[in-house]
Amino acid sequence: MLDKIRQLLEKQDIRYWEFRQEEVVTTSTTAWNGTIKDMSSGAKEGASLRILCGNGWGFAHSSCPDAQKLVQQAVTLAKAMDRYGQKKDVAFTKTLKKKVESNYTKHPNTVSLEEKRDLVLKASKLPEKINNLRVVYTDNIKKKMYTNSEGSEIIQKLCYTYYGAEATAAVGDRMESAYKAHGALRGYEITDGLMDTVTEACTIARNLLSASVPKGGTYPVIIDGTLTSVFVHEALGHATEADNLLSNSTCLAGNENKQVGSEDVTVFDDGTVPDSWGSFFYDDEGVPAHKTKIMDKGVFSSYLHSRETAALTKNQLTGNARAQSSAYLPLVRMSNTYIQPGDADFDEMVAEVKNGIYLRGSKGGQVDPITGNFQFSAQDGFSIKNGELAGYLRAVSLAGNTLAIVKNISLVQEKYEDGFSGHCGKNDQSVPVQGNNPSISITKATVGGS
Amino acid sequence: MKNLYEQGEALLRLAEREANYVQVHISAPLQQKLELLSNKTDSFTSTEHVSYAVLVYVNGRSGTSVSNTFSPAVVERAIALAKASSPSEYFYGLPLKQQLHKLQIFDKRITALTEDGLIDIADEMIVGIADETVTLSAGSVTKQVSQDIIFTSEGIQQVEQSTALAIVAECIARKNGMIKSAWDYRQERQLSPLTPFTSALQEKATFFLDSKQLKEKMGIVIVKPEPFADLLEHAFLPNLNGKNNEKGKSCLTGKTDTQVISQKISIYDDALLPFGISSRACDLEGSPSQRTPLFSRGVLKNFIYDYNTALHTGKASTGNGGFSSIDFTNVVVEGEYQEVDKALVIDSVIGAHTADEVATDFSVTVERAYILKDGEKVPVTGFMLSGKMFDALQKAISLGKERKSYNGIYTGALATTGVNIILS
Repeated sequence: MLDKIRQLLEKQDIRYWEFRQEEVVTTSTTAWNGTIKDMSSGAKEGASLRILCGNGWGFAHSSCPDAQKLVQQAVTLAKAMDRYGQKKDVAFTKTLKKKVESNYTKHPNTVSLEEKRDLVLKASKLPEKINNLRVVYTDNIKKKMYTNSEGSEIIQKLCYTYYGAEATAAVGDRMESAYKAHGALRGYEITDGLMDTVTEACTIARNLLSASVPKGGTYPVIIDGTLTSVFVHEALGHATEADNLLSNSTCLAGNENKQVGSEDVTVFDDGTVPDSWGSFFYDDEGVPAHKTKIMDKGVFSSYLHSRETAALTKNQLTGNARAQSSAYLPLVRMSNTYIQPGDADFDEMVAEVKNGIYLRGSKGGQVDPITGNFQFSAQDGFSIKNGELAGYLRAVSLAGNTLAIVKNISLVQEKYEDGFSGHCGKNDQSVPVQGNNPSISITKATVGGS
Repeated sequence: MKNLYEQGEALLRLAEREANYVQVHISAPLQQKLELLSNKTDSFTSTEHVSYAVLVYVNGRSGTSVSNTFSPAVVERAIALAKASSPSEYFYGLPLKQQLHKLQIFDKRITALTEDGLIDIADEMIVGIADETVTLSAGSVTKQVSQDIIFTSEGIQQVEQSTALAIVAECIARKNGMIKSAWDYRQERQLSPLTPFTSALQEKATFFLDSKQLKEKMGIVIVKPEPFADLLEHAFLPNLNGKNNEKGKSCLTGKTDTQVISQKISIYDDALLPFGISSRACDLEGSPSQRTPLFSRGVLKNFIYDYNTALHTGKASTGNGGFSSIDFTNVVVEGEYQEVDKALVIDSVIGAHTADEVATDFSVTVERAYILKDGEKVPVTGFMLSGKMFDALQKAISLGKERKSYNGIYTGALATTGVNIILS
């Protein structure tokens, strides 16, 4: 089909094209309280063609692609946009001919369905004082083929494995739940950690039954590595996505190479972290994954780019154009985003707080990149009284403004803590993202509670 | 080549060779999406995506397989998964064929929209929203024409065509160094005038520009339809899922026929809502669609069920069966309206999806709000809204008359005294 597409495109006046094909097989098993709830499989194929005609982008996708139809649809749409559109450009790379495959010790395809069934069955047996336990296992095997008008031809074989546990505990009318999960660009071998994750979720759910809700207000806070991952991703990372710069909708616009944060804060987005849930070899525009320093000792140093944003803003490519599947246009997305560890010991961080809150774990968050206002919810937390962890807390969340909070980071732990394997949503697309981060101290932030 | 109906029938027949019960669902949406960026059209995409989903039951064991290519492999995988699975906790079969309603979910004016027609709509959005203060920073116009085909081993052969037009717009207002964003979306099954959408969004962006710090808490809080729908979806509705009720993962378990929330509020799952975004003739198991009272004047009346969970708990299916899941259709909130002349009105929040659906706790940042006092509106900012949705609904004092729809939830604004304001 590729030859036919090349042949058809040669007859058109086209500045740039890229053709993506994808084959994805997903297997998922879910058990609820020691009984299988669902065993499912998905097999998806598809191809898309994206072209730049004059100043118009056209994109066509089909799950049963026909070369002539794809070219005709993409060209029609691009020409329609060229009549009405604004200036468009593309940053070019050198031609790449690559075949890569992610690491695994035990490929999920070599594991029987029965073994995957037994894994979640065993893990979801109800432990004491838990009235509901749901355990999920998923593997996602992708073959992505990329070709473009520069002559690049890239084949990536990627194996993602993920598991999670949701536990619910109840006493009388009071009910509390906790969710823990882990994912990696690895094989079935990561499930060695499943039972620990189940135990952790159950422990948190049980403990939350005796937790109290903090009094809402402004406090000095410490946030653990997991919540820091969400903070760095949501509050800072989204504002560095350069498509937001093109739409003039990032609170970082105009702050390039300026001191916007504390000198303790150096932040990277790095798609090359080995085996990480947010990693890949080449983005969905055929650009190699890259380690990008987005903040250097508090100075905002780089946006994250696609081919288009790099060209229009005259910046270097960073390999951050990602699409959920071949059915979607690549967007500027993060990968693995983290603060570089500092030199503070966790106990010292706590000791410095007289009356504050320690927030732990994450239930997700959201930011408005235009204003920089954000909100994150923690899994649980502790009050801090006179330099020591005190009462156990639930329903605790953090709110603030990116530019204000980044300035208020006073201490960064000397090591990475737990990470957060999540899915980031943007324009109806979801991609895996990861962060392994240190705990950080913030001198002043709004904590939600009663 | 077989058409979609013939393909569905072929998959059913193939699966029936080994399976005792079979569900087949073919979904074929054709979508054209025009994206906007900084007051201009940006890119145009066209996607054709056929999904073949097969759920089989082999001796009480189930397996589900999905593919986007028509091939016997999708059936073979489902059978293999079922054989590898362990017996379902309970299984009674699938519903028999029944008379189905014919629904209004198709508008030929949407199918007739050409590429230029979509560009005209985008232009109308830009003209309606952008001015010297307001930029339409990002947005999209999406036309979708879908065909859904359901076959079951119990004789269901259902073909349904639907249309949808979705409009998303995010804008930024800037004036005298102040900046405010505003966002809205509309997804409808039939074409309707764009002006109310664009003018409301433009007004929203500029009105909140000069927001002042909220200094004191107020007794009555009005949560407008969009944030109310957002909080309801994430912090309350999962408790009305029959599976969660059965598994002890619902705060409403054991409360049927008791007054749980304010008697001023009624909630329905209504798959028959004319032109409702989730309206359909039957669910994926073949049970006919219906309007199910969940809360009637504050009294818990029912949960949503699929066929098997319903029979297991002595109920009847409410037509909410999916593929091994129970899903809401259109959620309609109705209630009594009472004039409120002094309140804090919440227009938009961020972070509702981080709520705890079991405990119904939420704690969100308020993006846009105003104080309503004697007909005057004063925009305010800098605070959080927290509490339990359970309490917010229990202490509801009014439901607004103007109903809007977000994510399939059709509701007016909720006025309540059951939430907390956290000043920063």
